[in-house]
Amino acid sequence: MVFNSEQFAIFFAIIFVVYWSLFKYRLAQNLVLVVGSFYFYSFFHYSFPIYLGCLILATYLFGLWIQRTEDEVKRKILQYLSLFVLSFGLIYLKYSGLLIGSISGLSGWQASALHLLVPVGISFYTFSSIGYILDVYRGKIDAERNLVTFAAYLSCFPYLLIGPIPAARTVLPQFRQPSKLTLQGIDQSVGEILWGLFKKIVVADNISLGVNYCFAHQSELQGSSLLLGVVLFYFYLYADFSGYSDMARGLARLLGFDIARNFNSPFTARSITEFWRKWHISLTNWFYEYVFNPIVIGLRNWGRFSIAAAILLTFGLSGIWHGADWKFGVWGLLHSFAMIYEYYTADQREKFFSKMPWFLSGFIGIFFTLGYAILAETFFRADSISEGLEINRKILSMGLFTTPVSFSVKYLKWCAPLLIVEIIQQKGTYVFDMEQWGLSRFAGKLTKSAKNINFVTLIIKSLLYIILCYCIWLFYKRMNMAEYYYFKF
Amino acid sequence: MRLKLIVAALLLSTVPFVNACNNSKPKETADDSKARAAADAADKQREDNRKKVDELNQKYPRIPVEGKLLENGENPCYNELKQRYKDELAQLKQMVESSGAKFLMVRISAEAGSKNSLSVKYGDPYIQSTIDGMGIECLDFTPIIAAQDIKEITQAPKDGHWSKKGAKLIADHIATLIKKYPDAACKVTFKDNERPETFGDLAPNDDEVLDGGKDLPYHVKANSQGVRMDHDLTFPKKKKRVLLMGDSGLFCPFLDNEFTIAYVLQQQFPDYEIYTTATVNWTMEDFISLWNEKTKFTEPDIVIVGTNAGDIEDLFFTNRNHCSRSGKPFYPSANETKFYIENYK
Repeated sequence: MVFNSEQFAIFFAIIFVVYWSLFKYRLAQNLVLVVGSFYFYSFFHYSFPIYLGCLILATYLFGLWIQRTEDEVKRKILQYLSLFVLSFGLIYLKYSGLLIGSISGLSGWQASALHLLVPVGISFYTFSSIGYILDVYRGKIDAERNLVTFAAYLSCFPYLLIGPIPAARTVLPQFRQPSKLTLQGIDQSVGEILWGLFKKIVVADNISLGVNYCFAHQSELQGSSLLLGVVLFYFYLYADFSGYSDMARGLARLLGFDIARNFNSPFTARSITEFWRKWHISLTNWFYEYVFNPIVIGLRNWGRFSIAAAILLTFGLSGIWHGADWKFGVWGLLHSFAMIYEYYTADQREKFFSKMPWFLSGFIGIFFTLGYAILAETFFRADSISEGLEINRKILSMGLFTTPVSFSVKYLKWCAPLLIVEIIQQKGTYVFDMEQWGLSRFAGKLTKSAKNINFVTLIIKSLLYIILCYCIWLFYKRMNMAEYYYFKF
Repeated sequence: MRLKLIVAALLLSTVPFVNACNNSKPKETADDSKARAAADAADKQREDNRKKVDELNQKYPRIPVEGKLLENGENPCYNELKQRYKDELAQLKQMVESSGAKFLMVRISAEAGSKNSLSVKYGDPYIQSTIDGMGIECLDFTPIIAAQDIKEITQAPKDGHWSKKGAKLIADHIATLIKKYPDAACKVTFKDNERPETFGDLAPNDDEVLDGGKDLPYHVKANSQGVRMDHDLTFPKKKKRVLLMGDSGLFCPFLDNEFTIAYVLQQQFPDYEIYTTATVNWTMEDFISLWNEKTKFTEPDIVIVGTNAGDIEDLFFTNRNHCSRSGKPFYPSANETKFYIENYK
């Protein structure tokens, strides 16, 4: 059951009505969420909710245990024990194949691969549970005493499968407080859900065939067509993943929760460092807080090198987190190399760019960042490291100057509306934040009355929503309903 | 300034949707009132047919899977479909030959590797005897395919349609058939105003990637006449023409244009124009309607029709109501009704 299905629409409508009919009873609302989330998760496989339930119970008990333990040594042991237990399932189910394959590849030992069923979203909710335990251990939050409340937080279906990874410090308290549904909240939710659906159905599903074609035929295609393929893949990945994140945020808000944005116009990033502040923000924050910072602190005697080492380790791990294949490690390392370069050359680059007009430095920054991110992303989609290398070799050869496959423009044109809208809204709180669009000022030129300004803004926003609905309706039945790419992780 | 930029951006962002809407609605160019009246009447007929087909599909929604009709051996319903196949084949042959074109056939499975199916067991001998009885020259691919490794000549395990190697194999054998008739010639020519705008059922200038839901993306490119080829057919024709009619076995899903059977043949016969109007799921009834409406106007000198055992079952009325290109309603015979009620109601 995915967000862009009729089945989910019915499911959500029922949950919404039951949930808000119990608005005076927070615990009952949480119980509805738990039951609904487990039901939602069981659609993928009947065994997934069992695994999730065990993880929730283990996290809950470890949290309480750590909180109640005063002896620092015991707390530390408990922390490591809980991290081992919570991550064991993830490592065993997701990475045992990679480990066995790598060991047998290096040693020549013949081992048969394990074909294990990996629960969808395991990487995401395992990270949520680890983040919670570390926060409890560090005393940043109190362990949740109510199992239902905790289960509702960890299993909440809008972000259960592919995030955004909810930060316990900001999201868990919302499951304890009385929930509120405001008109402004509904408006934002509708905007986010429609925009998320648009990204998925109109953009991602539309261009996915072009992407699949280019990668499936990479051995026959020239550099120009492959460049088109990887550019399309970048947009596809963004539209697919950020579309889901937008919907998750909108759906969560309809249930009274505010979760952080996961993307913020990554196309406008002027460096890879900035890119990671705009792309998969919840994961970046998680790694920053629980991996990067501890490494930097642990290696503080190494001086500037501690930062480089922390970047290398963090992004190597982040790559492998994405998938049980060394190609993801290569992808992560490529990003870390760029960030280390940026770290060591920050002063020189700033001096160099300060002599240029702002638009030129901006253009150069965006061009190289986007180009590097796109080429690195090749390893994300290629079947292997060697295939990724071969694609990049072809792109960076004379084949780049040949005529690309004839359907290029047909697929590329779907990226235009995505780019335009996201660039306009990059600093807004959500995509149809009309203040950011400058529409209030526009309305102010038409009329002086505040009431009329609101009315004009409302009309324009409604028109935008109607256009979005029309596009979604137009393509909903026509397109191949491709699975969300991040379901693999 | 910013507002202008936003408005311009909004307008720009609507371009794809405007294009998408334009693509789905062909322009009406009939100015002449008589032509308009005829077009209106045809539209009305199509609309009536669509309603009737919808009603029939609601009443009889199920299409028997391949072999279902033969689970209890041959039966009156299947025998009726066999007779229908025979009649339609005779009709197609007569129509093609009346144009002067050479009518040839190839017995070629839509999906290789189905040699043990009930359809093949009962259908193949009947089709061969029917073809022989009508004196049609036919190339039987059964032994040729049996001698090959299915994994190499098809997209196995994902799909049973031809791989590049399979398409090349088929093309090489069809080439021998074409070479046998260097003097075949169409005797009919049509006036420019008689010809339809398109000769195939693909969207004119179609240029897209499909994957049939099997993660086997392939590039389909049609000319402006709706035929899967890289140039338009011009008139009067300057080269001999070979038309391939059939279902997916000749259409070659999961292969780019340049690896299809028609394209490989075209490379082998530069003095010919070789093209296909084959489409997935089609059978004799579709070939007849396409010939009448479109392909006969291409004035082919040789027509090669691909057939297989599934073509008989594809004539079952629910299959026709779901898949027929003609869009006309197909009402069940007494035997078909009986079969449907016994199996699906």
